Amino acid sequence: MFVLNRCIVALLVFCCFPQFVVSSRAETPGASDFYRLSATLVKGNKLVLAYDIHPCCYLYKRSFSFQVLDSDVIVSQVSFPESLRHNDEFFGEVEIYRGEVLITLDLNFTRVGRRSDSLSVTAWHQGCSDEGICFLPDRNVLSFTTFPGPQ
Amino acid sequence: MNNGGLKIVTRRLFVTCVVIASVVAGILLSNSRPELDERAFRGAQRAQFKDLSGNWQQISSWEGSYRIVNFWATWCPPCLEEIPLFVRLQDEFGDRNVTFIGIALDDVDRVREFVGDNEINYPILIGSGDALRISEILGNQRSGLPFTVFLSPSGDLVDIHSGAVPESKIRQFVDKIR
Repeated sequence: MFVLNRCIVALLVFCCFPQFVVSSRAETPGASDFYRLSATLVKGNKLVLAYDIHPCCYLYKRSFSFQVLDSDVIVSQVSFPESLRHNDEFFGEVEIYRGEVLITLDLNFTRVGRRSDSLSVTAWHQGCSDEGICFLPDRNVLSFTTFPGPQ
Repeated sequence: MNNGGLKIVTRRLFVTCVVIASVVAGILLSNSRPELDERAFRGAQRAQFKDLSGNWQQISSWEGSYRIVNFWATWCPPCLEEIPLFVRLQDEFGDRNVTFIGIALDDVDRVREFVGDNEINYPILIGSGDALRISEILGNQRSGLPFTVFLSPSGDLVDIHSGAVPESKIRQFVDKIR
């Protein structure tokens, strides 16, 4: 019984410790999973982008850019939430975002009376981790099959 | 010590040994380099990139020297932070058959301006769209920058580093050169 107990304890300890050490090192995720992005169309002419940034990382405010892939729709205004200040040795004081970030795009039709059935928006951003690893500028194409326009 | 006391001591000693062994195993596992596809690894060293004069080059163009291949960009602050160190060490170790090679994942004009302003004294190549994938083949598991690969003269992998490389790591690499 004593030997069995020792074996169980040994097995548990051996299985748990390496995983603990590995997982603690793996806290900084890779480029593809250091943030999540979801988007919602509100009232037909507002697009709300919700970034959920991993605690290890941040996105540069200046890196955000948005483009509507429809010649009849433009982004008339981008509303950013309050940013955080970040001191960078090379770029000086820059504005960054951490955690959950909501960015609202106001969409306008350039032709009166024109309605699109769908909408695609490309969102660009770039960020780094506190550990000192930066990820390449990344883009997401957000597509909506139903786009009623302003209501 | 009676028999019961001896058993308890033995048990504690055994558990302590297992804990220490597990921690050591964990550290070794976590620090181990990613398993590389040898053929792809060699192929990546032959990937073509243009230098700032517009000539096609590859990492293997400098075969025969100890190479420190650094993937970087001008929009990446930790990348810019380590470049003065590379410039200084290229000067210091140039006669020890050590060559730094910078592969910039960036716009050529911005790179050219930065290289001129900072008097970079080692080859700079412009990473095309494939440069990130090449860095991944060479071991860049997080797909981030900066990423540095240490290669032997024959192109064998000596070490890799994600993030800014500590000077001590470069010196350690050079110290191994006889």
